[in-house]
Amino acid sequence: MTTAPTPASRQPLTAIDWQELIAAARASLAPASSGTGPSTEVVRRAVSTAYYAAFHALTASNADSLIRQPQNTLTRQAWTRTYKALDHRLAREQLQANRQDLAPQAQVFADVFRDLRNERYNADYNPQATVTVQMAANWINRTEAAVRSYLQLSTDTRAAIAMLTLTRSR
Amino acid sequence: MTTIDAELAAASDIIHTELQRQIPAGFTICRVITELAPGPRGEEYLRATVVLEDNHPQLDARFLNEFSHHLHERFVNAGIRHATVAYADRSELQA
Repeated sequence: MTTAPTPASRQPLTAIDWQELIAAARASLAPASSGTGPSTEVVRRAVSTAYYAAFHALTASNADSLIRQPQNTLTRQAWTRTYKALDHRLAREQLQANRQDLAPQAQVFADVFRDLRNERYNADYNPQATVTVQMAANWINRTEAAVRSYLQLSTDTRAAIAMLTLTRSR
Repeated sequence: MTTIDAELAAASDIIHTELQRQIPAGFTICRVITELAPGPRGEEYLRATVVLEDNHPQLDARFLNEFSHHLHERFVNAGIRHATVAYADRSELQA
């Protein structure tokens, strides 16, 4: 028996799981059974994946804190649109521009986000960049620590940060 | 010495001095290398690599984040850009 696919409007809303990205990045650095370490390309990808873990943690936090639990088509669309609205550059700029007003754990997140964005770019595009296993492992661990701390902020605080990172001031 | 060279040297000095003060026992800083690296949208950023002697304990991620947070103020006070700090083992850079 075949069943019709569930319409997108009724599928459960799930974010891209930042913890899974962290786990994938960490697993990629593990030595092979032969004992050989990961290739330079894999190490570079691990740094990039750590950045995207931070990015998706922020996008999910923004959607969850602004829309809360979507209950109907309207709020589901709003959640999805909010989730997809974050711009990499604007997020970094606004987190830094408002840094002095943020709680310490949000400042730490803002700094890790800025640094990771730089390192991701360098790892992805600069063939001269030195990226080692230790460097990548530290970025993964720092990302996880920064995100966990950030997500402990109150929903109202994260909603305010969501607005700052999603909108431009006139 | 150019302005950029002075900025790179100042960043290395700040990182080395502050880290030497704060890093837990069991770590030896071999050197701090600071360079200009290409960032997104054509912007360059200061990229520092702290080279540690091998066989050190596991670096604590919260310590590294707090240290970077602490450096922010030091760089502002010194009038230089923030440097992104990465950590590598000496043997990794010799390979």
